[in-house]
Amino acid sequence: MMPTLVLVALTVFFLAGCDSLPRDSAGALNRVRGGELRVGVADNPPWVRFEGGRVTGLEPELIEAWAKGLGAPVTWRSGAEAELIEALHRREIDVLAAGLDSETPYKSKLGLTQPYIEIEDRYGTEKKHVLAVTPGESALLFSLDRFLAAQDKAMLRRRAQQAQQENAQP
Amino acid sequence: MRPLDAFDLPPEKERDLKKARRLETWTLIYIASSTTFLGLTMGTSQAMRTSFFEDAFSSVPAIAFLVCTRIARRRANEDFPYGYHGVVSIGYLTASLSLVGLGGFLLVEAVTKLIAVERTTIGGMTLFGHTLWAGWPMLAAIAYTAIPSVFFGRAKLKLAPQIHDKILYADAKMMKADWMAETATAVGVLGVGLGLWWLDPVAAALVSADILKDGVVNVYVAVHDLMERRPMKTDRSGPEPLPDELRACIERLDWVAGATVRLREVGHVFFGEVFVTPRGSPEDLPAKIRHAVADAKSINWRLHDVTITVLDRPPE
Repeated sequence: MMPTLVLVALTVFFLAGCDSLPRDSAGALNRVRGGELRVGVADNPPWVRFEGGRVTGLEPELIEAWAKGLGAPVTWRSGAEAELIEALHRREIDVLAAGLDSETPYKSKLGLTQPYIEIEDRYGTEKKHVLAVTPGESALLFSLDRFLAAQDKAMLRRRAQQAQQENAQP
Repeated sequence: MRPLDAFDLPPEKERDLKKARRLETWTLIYIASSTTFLGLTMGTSQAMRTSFFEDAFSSVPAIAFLVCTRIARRRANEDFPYGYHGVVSIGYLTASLSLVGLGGFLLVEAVTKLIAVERTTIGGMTLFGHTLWAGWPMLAAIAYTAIPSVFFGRAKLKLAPQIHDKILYADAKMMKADWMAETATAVGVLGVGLGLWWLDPVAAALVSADILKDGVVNVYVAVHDLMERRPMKTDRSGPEPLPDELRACIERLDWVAGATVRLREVGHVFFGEVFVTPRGSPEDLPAKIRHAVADAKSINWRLHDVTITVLDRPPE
């Protein structure tokens, strides 16, 4: 048992040394770089909203900026959160923006990003907002995480608060 | 009821026991610290839950050892005429069951993951303003929890036969289970990093099957101990030679024509009877028996109590 394990560990370390980690289990990041980014969006104001056939909100904006950096045009697919989570697992979309927070009941089944913002919701509960990528695509997730970490958090916060206020008004 | 005489360990065994107790206290401190470290790095991941359960299970043998070795030292009294040595066997059963629990839990976890094709994703983590792949700090946490287990396990495996403590022996197995499971987690994390999602559950399943096997073997031995099977060596390499030594010791006496023995192992110590057929009709038999009992007890510190029964039939 022990020699086998050590051997496996060494092999994996050796493989790891050949290339930078992490890699995707189905090469999503490489595919996106040369093609399009398929994004699922579920209505969840103010994070994601549909206005006159257009997708707006903080999360779609963030994703669009990230996709621009990757040189990939974005195709949107709107739907209900549960349906889009299914689509993620079927690899029909690469990213999900649904105003998810880190305590989502799907958290163990999704590849969640680090929180890009921590803010109180209208009930005064502190929520850590996250996006999700196709499970198993660690390179895609890492790329998105790095993009989100590099954002101006104070600016994001101001914009989110403003959007929350606008959303609260009838 | 007539309680047994007080039981004292020989001084060098007393030192070993103290050493073992110190080792177990450090084990618990270290498990507490590693749980904290794992918790901090694993974040929201499912692996954290698994690690938490694993740590909870792996503290059971250490706690059982500390509690049971303390209770076992109590003096025999009216209510417990044979002393408290039996608690060690109960502690051993508890420790062995915790191994079974851990192995079973990890195996179910791994197989479910494999069947559900649950792909783990590990992204970035921002530490001191740098965003690095979260797999690296996880590997650091795993190394921190796994490497000391190797040394703890070795030290315990060395001490266990010295003081004939099977809880300590089961705990050495638990330490091995701990570092093997952590190695499997490390292989899994690197597997995720390489995009090989199945490496994590496969490595975990292999290791948990091994832990489960260790657990089942130990439960088997623990149950047999509680049923007072013939004494076996602490490392299970064969039957304990003490019964033969005892028989030889008694048969060497000039007034003895033949002897048979019956011994049982209770925790660290042995109790038993010697059935003696005297040569002719020896004078002053009670004094001879008293001396024979003293001789017998001096063979080995673990022989706590011996009763000699005189038979009137020829030796077997």
